[in-house]
Amino acid sequence: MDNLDTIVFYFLAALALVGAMGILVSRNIVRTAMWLLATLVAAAGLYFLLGAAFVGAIQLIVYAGGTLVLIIFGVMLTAKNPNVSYTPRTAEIVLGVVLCVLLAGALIFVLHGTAWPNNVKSVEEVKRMSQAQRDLVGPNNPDATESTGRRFLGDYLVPFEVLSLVLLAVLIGAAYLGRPKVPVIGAPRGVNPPPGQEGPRK
Amino acid sequence: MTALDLQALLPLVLTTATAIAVMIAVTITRRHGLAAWLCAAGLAAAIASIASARECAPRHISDLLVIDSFARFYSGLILAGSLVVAVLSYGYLKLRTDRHEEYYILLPLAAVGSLVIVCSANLLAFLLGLELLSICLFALIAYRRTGRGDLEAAVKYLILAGASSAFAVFGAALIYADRGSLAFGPPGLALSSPVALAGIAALLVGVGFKLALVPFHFWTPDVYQGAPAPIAGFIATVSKGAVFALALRYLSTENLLADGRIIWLLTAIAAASMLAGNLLALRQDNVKRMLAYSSIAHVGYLLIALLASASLGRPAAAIYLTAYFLASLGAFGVVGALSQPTRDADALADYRGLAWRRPFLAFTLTAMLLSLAGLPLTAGFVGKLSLVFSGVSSALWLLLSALVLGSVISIFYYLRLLAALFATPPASEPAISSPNTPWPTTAALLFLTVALLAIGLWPAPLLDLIQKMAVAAW
Amino acid sequence: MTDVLGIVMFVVGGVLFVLVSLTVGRLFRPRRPGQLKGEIYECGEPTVGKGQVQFDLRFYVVAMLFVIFDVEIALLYPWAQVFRQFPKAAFWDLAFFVGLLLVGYAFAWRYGYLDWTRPRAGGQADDDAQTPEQER
Repeated sequence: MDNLDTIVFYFLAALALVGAMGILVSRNIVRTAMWLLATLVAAAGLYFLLGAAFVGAIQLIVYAGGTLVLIIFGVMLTAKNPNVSYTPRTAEIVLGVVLCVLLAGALIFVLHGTAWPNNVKSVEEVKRMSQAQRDLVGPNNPDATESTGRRFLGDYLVPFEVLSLVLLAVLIGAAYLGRPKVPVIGAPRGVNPPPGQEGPRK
Repeated sequence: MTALDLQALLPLVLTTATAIAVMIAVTITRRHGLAAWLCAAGLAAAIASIASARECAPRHISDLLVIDSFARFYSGLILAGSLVVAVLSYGYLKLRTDRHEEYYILLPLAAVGSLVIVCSANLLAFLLGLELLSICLFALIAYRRTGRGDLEAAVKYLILAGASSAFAVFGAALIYADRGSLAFGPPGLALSSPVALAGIAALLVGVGFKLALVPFHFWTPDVYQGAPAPIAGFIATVSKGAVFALALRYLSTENLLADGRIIWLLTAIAAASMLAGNLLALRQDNVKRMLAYSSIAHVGYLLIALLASASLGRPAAAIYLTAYFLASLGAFGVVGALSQPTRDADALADYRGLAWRRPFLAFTLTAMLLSLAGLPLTAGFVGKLSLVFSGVSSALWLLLSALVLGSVISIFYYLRLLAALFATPPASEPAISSPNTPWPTTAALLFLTVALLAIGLWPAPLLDLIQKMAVAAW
Repeated sequence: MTDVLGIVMFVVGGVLFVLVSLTVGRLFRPRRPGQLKGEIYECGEPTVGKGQVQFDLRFYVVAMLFVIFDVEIALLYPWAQVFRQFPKAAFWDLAFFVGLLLVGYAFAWRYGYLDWTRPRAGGQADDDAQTPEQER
């Protein structure tokens, strides 16, 4: 069944790359978002292929489900014309392509030149391991989600709680910045926006 | 998680509790003063908890965080900086914006992010702290929501911080791929593998962005100009200080300076930052932008301490950062105190003849600028002197000549502002009539000035403290 | 790996189901396009204006809240898997995690970020009419 894995991997990798290229090439932001969907779903597929079901599910729920909706939402909320497109200057394109090629070249050179240890465990091997050993094995771990949960309560307790602070900061910051501008009673001049510019109205 | 762990984490816990307490209090009753004083009191309690916990040995919280004397020193610096920013913000916000309460929730949360960065012994904790800090800063930079400048600054910071975080996360992923762990590794391991080296290069992008080192500095002037003056001070000091402390720890834990390529890279970045920062500052008529460019140069100077031998470099970094914290916060505090409700006092013209109109603010700003320029009798002089000593001991001649050249250039633009301060006031009405300074702002500026001069005149107590805390091996 | 085979079969089956049913329908149904059929269907109401309008900014806060709680729910999943192993630690762990966001939610509620007031006649929104803005 190794062949099927390989086929699926190349399919997903191609999907991710095509999506990424689509993001670059399309000038319409809504289309860009749709190409991004392809990339995000392909990445989720790669996580599933690696046996990281939890990360894959998060990728689908949060990125494909949440963030992408937010991008489309942003288009609906901001642009007067949702099909706004922009054309970069030639110099910008050239500079961007040169930088990307250099970066990609360096990464390919480095990743290709490394002898990766072949220590991937098969499912049967992982099943024979003790709990502690299993926690250290990422791929093919049948209860990777469980060991993630155990770590949330153990070693990674502090980061887990800090994560809730991050979410709190997002909640407060986004709500504050997103509230419609309102005139302030008794505020000094200049704090209030000039009439007619308070923000979008339906 | 034991009681001892909790005790070691007390500054972090108290700062978090501050944010939560402010949030609960202002949910019950909305008052600007209540939020500000609760925030200040919480941060002060966190500082006190560091002082009380000085006897504790280095403590590892799993393999993610380490609370040692180094972390404690920089935690104290960060919390003190945040406290000063909170006090300065009270007077600043009173005249601006209709809602103040969110500010005092986001500010301690940003401080928590910085504390996590300083205490991290693992790239995971570093990235988490970096995200928390960045997210709070996005909202704080755009806090006034009035002008185009604020929103432009926030969007620029958002996009560039996002891109640089992506690089940092990718770097961490490469390092994880190489060794299967995100903990700061045993020394020398990273240098043997090209993948880890590529990872460190990508991490450098994330760190360089936050430190505003030269190839990654383009956001600095716009963000400083657009952000509220106290937040510009926060970005210049707390955010940079935290990331710098992390860079110091990471470089020496991994012993990256054993590699000639990394030394060359850092030397080039440092020299470029010193020269570019100072040269670009020369051409600025906008005081906030000038301070932004000079902050680029100051971090460039700090890299000398990073490259020097640990025994002299670490205390030099701590002294220089302390002096830089005092002077930058003071300078931005004066800018904030002079600012109109509609715009910050950032034009050079706003400062003409300030010494005759507002002698206290002019005197404070003079002290801060002299310290930033590194002239004697101020803390900046002590800081620069120890940087030079550490550089000489490690024979970093190229960087030292850049330091001297940069300092000479910097004197020009600091003096230009000083000359404006003491120029005869124009016969006509002053261009702006700045509001009265509220007493908390005056108190904070007075504290900064006294500390600045005290360290400049009698640095021994600070040096003792730093020898005890910021040098200890980990 | 049988897991992958299952997923692949599921995905292929899903795609085929759509394709096959559409194709079969196309083969059998009559094809009579007309102007009436090409019109926009809006539950029987006649349509007014363009479909691509700028939405009210207040939707944004709701969308952000959705993503925040989305992330939170996702993080609860591994926690729920080990809940029975350490009931006490897991409870306090989550009490803090959820409690913090709950306080944040109360804050946003109290400060009127969740208010959905209608724009007043003349286009001025009375956002702060019900919020504690005037308490100071």
